[in-house]
Amino acid sequence: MDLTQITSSVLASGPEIIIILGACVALMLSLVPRPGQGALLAGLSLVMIALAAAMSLTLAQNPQTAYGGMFVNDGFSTFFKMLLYLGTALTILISDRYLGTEDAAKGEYYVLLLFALSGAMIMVSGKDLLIIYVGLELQALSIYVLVGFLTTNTRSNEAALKYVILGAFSSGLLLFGLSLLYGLTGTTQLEAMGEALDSVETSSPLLALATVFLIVGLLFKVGAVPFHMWVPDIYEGAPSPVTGFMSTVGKVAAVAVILRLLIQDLAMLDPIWRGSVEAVAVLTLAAGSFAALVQTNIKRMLAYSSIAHGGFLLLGLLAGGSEGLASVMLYLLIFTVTNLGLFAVIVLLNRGAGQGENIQDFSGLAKSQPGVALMALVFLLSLAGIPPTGGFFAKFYVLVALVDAGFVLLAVFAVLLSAIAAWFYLRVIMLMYMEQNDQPAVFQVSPAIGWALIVTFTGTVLTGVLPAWFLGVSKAAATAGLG
Amino acid sequence: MSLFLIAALPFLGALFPALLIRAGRNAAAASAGFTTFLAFVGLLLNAPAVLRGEVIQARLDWLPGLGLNTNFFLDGLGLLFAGLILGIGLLIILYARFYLSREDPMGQFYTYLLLFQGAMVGIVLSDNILLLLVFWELTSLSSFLLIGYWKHLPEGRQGARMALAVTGSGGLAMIAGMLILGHIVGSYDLTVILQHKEMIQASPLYLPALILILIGAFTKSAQFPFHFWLPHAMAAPTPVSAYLHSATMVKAGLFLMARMWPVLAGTPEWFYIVATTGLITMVLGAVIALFKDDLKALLAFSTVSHLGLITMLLGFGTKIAAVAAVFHIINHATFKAALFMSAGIIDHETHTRDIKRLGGLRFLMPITFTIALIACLSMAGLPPFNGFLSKEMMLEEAFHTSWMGSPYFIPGLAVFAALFSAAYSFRYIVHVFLGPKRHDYPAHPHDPGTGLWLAPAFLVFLVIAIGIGSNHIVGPLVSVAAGAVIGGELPYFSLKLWHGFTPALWMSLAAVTGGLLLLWLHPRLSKMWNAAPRPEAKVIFDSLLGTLTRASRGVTDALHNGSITRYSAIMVAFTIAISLYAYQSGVASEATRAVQQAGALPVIGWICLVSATGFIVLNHRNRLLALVLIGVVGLIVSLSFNYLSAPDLALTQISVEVVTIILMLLALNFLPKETPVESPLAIRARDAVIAIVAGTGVGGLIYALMTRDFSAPSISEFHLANSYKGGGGTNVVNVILVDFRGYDTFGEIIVLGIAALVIYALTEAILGSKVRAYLLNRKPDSPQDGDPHPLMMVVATRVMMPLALMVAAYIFFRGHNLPGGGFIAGLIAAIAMLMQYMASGFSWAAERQKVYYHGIIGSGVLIAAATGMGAWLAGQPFLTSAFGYLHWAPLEEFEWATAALFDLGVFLAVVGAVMLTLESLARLAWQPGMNSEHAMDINPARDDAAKLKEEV
Repeated sequence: MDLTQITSSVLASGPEIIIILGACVALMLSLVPRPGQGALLAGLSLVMIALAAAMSLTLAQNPQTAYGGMFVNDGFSTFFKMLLYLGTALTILISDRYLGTEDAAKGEYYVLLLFALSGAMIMVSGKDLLIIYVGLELQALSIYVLVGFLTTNTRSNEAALKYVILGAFSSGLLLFGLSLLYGLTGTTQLEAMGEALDSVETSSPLLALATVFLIVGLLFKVGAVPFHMWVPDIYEGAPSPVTGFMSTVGKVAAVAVILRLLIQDLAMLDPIWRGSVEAVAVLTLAAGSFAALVQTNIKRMLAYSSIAHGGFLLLGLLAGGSEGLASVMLYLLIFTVTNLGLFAVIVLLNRGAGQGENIQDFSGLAKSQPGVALMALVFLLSLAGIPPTGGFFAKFYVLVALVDAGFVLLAVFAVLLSAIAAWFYLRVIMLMYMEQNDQPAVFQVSPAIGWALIVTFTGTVLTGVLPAWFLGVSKAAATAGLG
Repeated sequence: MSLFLIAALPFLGALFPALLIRAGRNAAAASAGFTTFLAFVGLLLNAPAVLRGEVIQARLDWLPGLGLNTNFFLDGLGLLFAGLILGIGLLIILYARFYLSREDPMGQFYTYLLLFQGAMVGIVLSDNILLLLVFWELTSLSSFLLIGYWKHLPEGRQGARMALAVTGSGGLAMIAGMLILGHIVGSYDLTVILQHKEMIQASPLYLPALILILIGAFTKSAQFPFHFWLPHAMAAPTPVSAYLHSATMVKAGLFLMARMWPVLAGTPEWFYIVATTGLITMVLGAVIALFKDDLKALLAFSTVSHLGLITMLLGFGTKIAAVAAVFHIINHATFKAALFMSAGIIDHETHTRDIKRLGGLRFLMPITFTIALIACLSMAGLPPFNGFLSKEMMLEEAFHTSWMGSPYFIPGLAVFAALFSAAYSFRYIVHVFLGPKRHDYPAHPHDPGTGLWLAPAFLVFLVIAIGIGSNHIVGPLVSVAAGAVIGGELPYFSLKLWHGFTPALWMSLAAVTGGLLLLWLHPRLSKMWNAAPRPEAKVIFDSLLGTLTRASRGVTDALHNGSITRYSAIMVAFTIAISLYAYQSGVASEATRAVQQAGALPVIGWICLVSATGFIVLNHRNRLLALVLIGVVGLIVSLSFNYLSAPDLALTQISVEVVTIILMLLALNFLPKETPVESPLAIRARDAVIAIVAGTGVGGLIYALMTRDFSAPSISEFHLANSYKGGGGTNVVNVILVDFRGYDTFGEIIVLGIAALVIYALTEAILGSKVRAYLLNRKPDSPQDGDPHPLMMVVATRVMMPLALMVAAYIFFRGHNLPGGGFIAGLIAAIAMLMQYMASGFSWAAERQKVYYHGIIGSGVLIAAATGMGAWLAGQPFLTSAFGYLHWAPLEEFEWATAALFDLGVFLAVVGAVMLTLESLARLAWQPGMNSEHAMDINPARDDAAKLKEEV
């Protein structure tokens, strides 16, 4: 590797470097606490994210690999990185107020968010199992700390501890799978591994086990049943913006890795995992939809809802091909926007110390805060997949891809379950629009959250009204991903 | 007018009432009426062309990639329905203006109403089944808002929720059906689909698609067993009921069946599902309607019954039946809307809808009486009104249809339903308007103002007009609409009152006579009906929901009880299951390596290992003992490394063991001596089984791995061959660490450093929280030793310090070629310093420690990074090492590899990380009475001054 290669490699990883530098600067700044520092750090983080986004877009003009083929900038990774930027930026916008209400305004928060973002970016761009793993751990470690960020809140502490222990379990399995794969092929680079695997018989039980461990480790990150056990407790206990972050950015990165491995580079493993993933997808949809019905805490409900949405993502994976890939990408885009929009509303309702998370707190919102209630309505409808919001097209595209790939039964099953899932979103809508409340939620929308709401609302509506453009973008990225 | 504009007008119009309500109720109503009127006129402008048999289309791509386009088309069926929706919509807008009271938010009402109207128009004009679905779900949503309009009524909310649950879910089922349909044909455009009858009916997916689409249609049109939501939706304001349940919402299901009739109908499946469902619904609705005392409930069940009638006609699958269905759709819309409005007027004027409290109203409300009388007679099927015509056609068709080979089944039940239909129609007249005048009406009834009766009056005018001059007034419309349903040659039909003495006429006569008889018997029958036990659909629905809720709560509670052991048990169990499945799915290749002979030493070691592990499991509640046993396990592992000729692995392992055991001993300081037993025996047994199975699985996997060669060439050969050549060292492990896989090591030291920093940050945070108070007030369980720093130990550690550091240096330098290396050296150096802390106390040691450990970690990482980057300057990849031989005068020539510099980074990072971690944790071991003045003071009381000041 000579100097020109080094320069080009460094340039190719420019966005990651920008984010990490931003994190370091924020860390330094937060060493000297000052009043009003939160806004400064948030602004800095946003600027860094904007810079990284601009650089990613520039790099996307000219797809290339770097660091000896371990790292790649292609349409696929650029699309996902854009999603990651969007998700993180929205999280930052809704964080300041939450930290203020919970009395936890500390600079490390933004530092950890940026580190988690950089980890996720490395996962998305990694072309080598080890790089991907390093990114995954960087992201996971930062999120572990973020989950326990409310140091005086026992729920938050408990959630962090549970997440660390269960996360370690899944990381162990993932590593086990990676090392088995390495043992079988003698390489960790995805392309070389794909070539080597062509000569290995897929009936080999060792390859099957390696695949299973790999998939279990990744499914844990997506929160697929039965590896979803951590999701509800941790989503409920974590600070609300962090929950939003995990359910979008965390999920986006994990799904990107799954797609890169299973559809793109290691496609020959398909016969091994298909059966299990079908079963997992069905279980995920069913368990997520049914369990959400009876939740009374909005974050816990969204945890199960997010599990059910994970099931839909797996369906897109099962559909496979460029259509399946594009459907998952579009789904993630719409889900990110919608879900974070709803979390912005949750942050607005938060009154500190876990108050304001009961779904009863939504009652009468239409009267006291008609604007916010309308936005929440659109987000909820989108999550339920009711036209003409973006969520409908997200689900719909996955279903089309499934039916076209011949999985009619799965598609029917998914639709029926989303009928059940629609019910618990509607329950919240009922509360907002049809219940009276003597003490309706009263709050001021701060400018930052206002922006977050505007962006997410516009996104949800635009993806519903003009889905063709977004579909085109994800299709182009998916085709670029398949090479 | 363009179809786009017609479909968009109601949506645009929906904006005005909400905005104009400030300008007054009339302005809101007028704006709503005006946009509807515009759309209606637009529709009429297109009518001549449609009546000539043309199909008007408008196309616009929306999501062409998925086959979803905003394509509209207008044919006879669309014209009929759009006309009903907009025409009756106009009347409803007029009626509602006078019906709603001053307290009701009228702007909101008209906004919802127009949204609903737009969605309905969208359904009937869509030329794309996906677009149709979008509008379909919109009607569910907007009707939800309309039904729940009176927020103060709990029944309103319940009814709205039930309607939305049933119709919304049905709509989603329909999405699946439509997807399948589109998949079969390869297009989602209705005009294309309608041309592929054979292809669809031959497809194996025909039945699933049919069932799913029918679920959507049946739920919307309140067909058995989904009929129960409709009566509960009656909590809505009457204009809403009149609109939704006469002409629009419930007709959407019928519309869909009619729309799909050309491609789906004609098969036995269609006949038996649709016709039977329609028949059951017709009979059930008619019977229940007779026994309802609430005017609107009576009308609601009558609506259910009539919807069943139309469904049945469509289900027959014959062309003439389809014509009858279309005709009855028109007739039912006219008389039922009029009846709902009259019920609303009665409610408005008398303040009650209970039939038992009414009667004799013909004297007080003559206009309303006239309107209701005509509409009711039409509903009962008496000539010369329009209801008679379509009922005759229905009976005629029923007479010719046999069901499962029985020619009497359908005609018999049809007459039975018609009989009840006549009975409840008569009851509406007799029990409400006839009879003596009463003196206990809740209000003083009188005829309402013109605004309120004008709309129903217009409708009954239509009822009469269609009845008398049907062939001229609606004949062409029925022809084109039925033509669109049938999609081919129209059969001969004639809409007239007198067809001769046909069987249908006799059946009709029987029904009317029987109806009068039933009305006479009504009081007695009613008593029997009320006494008889019968399944209440709402109760079933509620209990179904309740069961579902309980089941999911049960499952959720069972899975997510917050216990992390249960979570991990479930995850491990599933992993085992999947692994087992994966394993048995293939055939393992034969073992390629022979099992080696074990000597005495390994066997002894193995026995020690197994018994130590066994004892840990048995005694893990005694924490100190468990820790000691873990130490034993670690020791055996280190020894076995040694036995297998990996001395430096052994060294590393031992050092790591020591440090971690010390760490855990520190933690024990804060924990009770014993772990209490918290879970019952059964759970522990379950966990044991899971653990044994998982352990066996992993063991078996490792055994399988070790008895087979990798399919790829082993990497150890490569390393042995290249370690010296490429890395300049003969200690392969060290070369791997610092050279071949230097990347990993680099990552690891960073992680190690971060971990240490995090531990530091965490303990800082903990010391800032409540724990601080706890520490300050803690009373040790057992008395402390007299002298925490015995002189002997102090002296010994002082002596050992330089020795240990020397060993570390030695190990470090020889590491590249012989067992040793930066990692082990770091651990040894750390242990050397640790001894000082232990012997002389924290503050003494910390005072002599001039460099912060943070800095040591950082410099270690930086040195390693700089070394790695140095390789770039030589044009080599990151972390490529170089080595050479140096000769200093007094010394022998020795080898010097850049990897050693990297190793120095590792050394520093390890020292810093270990020390920072232990130091951080040791701060928690502070006990009352300790004295310390250092800045890195362990005394948690140190911050009190600042805090106190703040509090003051």
